Amino acid sequence: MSEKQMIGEAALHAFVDNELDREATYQVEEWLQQNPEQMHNIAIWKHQNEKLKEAFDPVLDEMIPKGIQETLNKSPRPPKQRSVSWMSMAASIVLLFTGLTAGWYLSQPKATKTWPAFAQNAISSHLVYAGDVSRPVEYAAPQKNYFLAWVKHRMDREITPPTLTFAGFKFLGGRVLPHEDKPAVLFMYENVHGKRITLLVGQNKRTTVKPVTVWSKGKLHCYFWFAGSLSFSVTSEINKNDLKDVTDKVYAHFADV
Amino acid sequence: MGTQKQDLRSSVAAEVPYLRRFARALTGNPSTADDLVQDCIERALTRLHLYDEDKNLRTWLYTILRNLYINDIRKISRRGPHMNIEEVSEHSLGQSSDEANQTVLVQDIAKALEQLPNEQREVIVLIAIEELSYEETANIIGTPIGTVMSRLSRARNRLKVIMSDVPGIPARQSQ
Repeated sequence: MSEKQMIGEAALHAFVDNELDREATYQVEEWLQQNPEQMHNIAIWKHQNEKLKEAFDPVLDEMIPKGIQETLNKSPRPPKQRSVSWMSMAASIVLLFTGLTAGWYLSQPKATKTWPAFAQNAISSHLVYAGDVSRPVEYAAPQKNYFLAWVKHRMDREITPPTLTFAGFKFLGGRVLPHEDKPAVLFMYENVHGKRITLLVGQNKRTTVKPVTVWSKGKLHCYFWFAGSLSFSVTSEINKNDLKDVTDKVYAHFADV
Repeated sequence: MGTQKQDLRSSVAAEVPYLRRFARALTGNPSTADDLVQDCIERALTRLHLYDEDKNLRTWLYTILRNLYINDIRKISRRGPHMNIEEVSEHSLGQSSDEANQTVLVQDIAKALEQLPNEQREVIVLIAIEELSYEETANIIGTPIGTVMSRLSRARNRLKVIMSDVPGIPARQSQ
């Protein structure tokens, strides 16, 4: 195999795995148009990727086995280093199970779900509202000022949505919706391909902090984090790397608030 | 300080579903996979003080799990006095050398994955299933990015052959 062919193949793999920047992606797309027989391999590799995800993604939704849960809940100090009475051990285990921080959702007795309610709300809202072709938002972009004033009134604080035009997404509008019995706000964005991003901002029942986590469910990726009194999520079916770039911007935007 | 550690432990807990998926795809066996995840969590929790918070938690955990997996394979290789590491890396865990040389045409991609040599399987799992970048994958397996790309290419070509409808093509091809 000549070196030129090898370099070509490396670019094709990188193309399939979204490793190329916009410029290089465009060049490969052009080249593929002129060399359509190469599309065959691309299609095979993409199909392999999909089949692999299909085969193993269901593991994400499985219950965490008891042994692993117990390992997570173990006290950091090994038992033999200090004598601990059974009563105080039991008390500390009970404290862990009541979930004093948002992160201990794994130990809550929910049937199959191990994700926080906020993230579930984000995914669910995205599915229902971003999936609505004709009426995805209640207040559209032309009513933005009125909408934001309404949000300020309902949530008792000003929430300003970020601009995502750097990523090719224009602001569509949004709606007020519930999260934990309090008003939350859903902002929606759309690009020229009709792909949508939703941004959910909810109010926390108690002050909670959690670093950015991503939950991939089906075709969707949901980046979310808890920042004290508010929680944020960025959800979309666009490429995960691109969504992460958007999330970084959103995170920085609200970190200044 | 106490709440910081608690947050880190809960961040580790949040990674468990991903670790389980990674281990399942690496080992092909649910109970082996969960044992591997448990060992990984135990090791990670005792090493939390070594974790650099600027680095990606998931990458750190995957590296621990992957190293434990490689060690397990090496332990098995020591049981057979004539097997060296290079030979072992060409066999999936638990497979005899006869099976590895035969053509096994499979529809099931999970079965096909098991037939890949370990060094190819781990790369395609990290990139296709765990959706890590080439760079993150290179960091986890400790090789240059070029090595990741050549192993990925071989993995994909071998998967294509294993799952093809054309009979009589051996699973091993000289590259």
